[in-house]
Amino acid sequence: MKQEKEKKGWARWKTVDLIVTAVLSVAFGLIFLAYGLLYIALVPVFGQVGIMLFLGFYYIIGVLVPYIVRRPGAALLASLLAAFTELLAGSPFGIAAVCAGLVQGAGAEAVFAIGRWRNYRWYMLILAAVASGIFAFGYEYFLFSYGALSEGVQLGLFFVRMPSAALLGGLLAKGIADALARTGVLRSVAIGKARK
Amino acid sequence: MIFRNYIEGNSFLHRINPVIKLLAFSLLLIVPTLFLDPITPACFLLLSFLLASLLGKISPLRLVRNMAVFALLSLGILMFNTLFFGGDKINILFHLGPLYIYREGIFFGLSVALRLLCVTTYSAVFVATTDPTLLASSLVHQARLSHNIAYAILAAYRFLPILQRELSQIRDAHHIRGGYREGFAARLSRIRRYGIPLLSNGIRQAERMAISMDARGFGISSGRTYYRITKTKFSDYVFLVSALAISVTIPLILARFGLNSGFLAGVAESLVGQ
Repeated sequence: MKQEKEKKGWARWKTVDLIVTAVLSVAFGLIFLAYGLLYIALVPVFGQVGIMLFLGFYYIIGVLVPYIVRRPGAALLASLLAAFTELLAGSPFGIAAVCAGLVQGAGAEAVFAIGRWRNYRWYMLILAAVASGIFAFGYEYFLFSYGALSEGVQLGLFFVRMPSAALLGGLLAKGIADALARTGVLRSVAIGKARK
Repeated sequence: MIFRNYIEGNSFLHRINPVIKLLAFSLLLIVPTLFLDPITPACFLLLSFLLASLLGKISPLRLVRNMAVFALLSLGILMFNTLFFGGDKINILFHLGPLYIYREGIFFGLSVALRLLCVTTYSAVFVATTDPTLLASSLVHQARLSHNIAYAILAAYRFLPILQRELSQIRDAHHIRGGYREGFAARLSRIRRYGIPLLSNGIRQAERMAISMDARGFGISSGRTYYRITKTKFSDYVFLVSALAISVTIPLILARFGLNSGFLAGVAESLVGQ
């Protein structure tokens, strides 16, 4: 009996995992709200394609939270919670943000699922962010009818976000989480136990 | 506290089950994305104003002000999508030197810009007529969200003023020690220097919250009582079905007059015998 429970012990969410996820998601939801306004203000400067260089930051929540708590479903849950927070706090993107969060979370979750929710090395974090970007592109393709734009522009909209995803979504998540782990505050969640 | 966008009220929209409202609004938002003409999203935008004022008792002025945030962005999107339109360019509207603007391009640009305005308006109507706690309750009872997750979210929301207070504390501490500098680079380093302590304090308190929740038997028994349970009423489903009906009817009517374009418009036109 005990062996069965221990086999699946790594998959069961503990309360602390849930609360940390909730707090981080809500906090980042508000950060995303402010970031969204910055985003809107910078579009006239960078253009629709250039602004994709900033898009990667939105994918950070689907990487940061799983990297910290390391439970199945963390990416999807965190991404959705952050998006709902954005909606209720008055983001102009509203319901579209929730759909985007769902899709991005699903992308990151897929990558961690392939790693059986046990592989959190740096390349997995980058891949998860990139996957968020790919799924997000698919969703935006539908929402904004990218298909009616010229091909070069479509390629630009797809590829320009990828370095941003890798840097602002993947590596930045690792940087933040590692910095937090160094303060010792993450000792009771999975990332803290993995670093011992 | 952060949910100042919710306006208390007793309108029809206020009383609809939140999850069903979300489903209905999402449906109304999907339809404009299926067509490439500007008339369809314009109709749905008009519909949103009607819904808000008639069924939600929300002033149209409030919605207009909400759209203002997107004003510059919509203009930018209009220009971008007009210039980079990739479809058949037939009718030249005008040209500035080597740059040609086609009617199809402008129509498409307007279509995307209006879609964005639809998104922001429907979202604003939803947020204005939905009590966040009722939304959480509805997600638990109608959408079968785990009640543990809902409780954790509400706990996290209660948390935010504390985080805000801590941010001021950290900022004051830095000021007292003479660490304030002007400039963009300083602002970036401030984000890191405030952010890490803020996040780590937040996580420490989250851990404490989790321990006290566990000590009170959080998540142990699946039998749980609730103070407020949201239920679905017949009128909720009437609203949902009406939204579905309108989503189908408007494109069909537009197709009858040959006003929409895009793949689905062809389907609609064949259905309506155009």
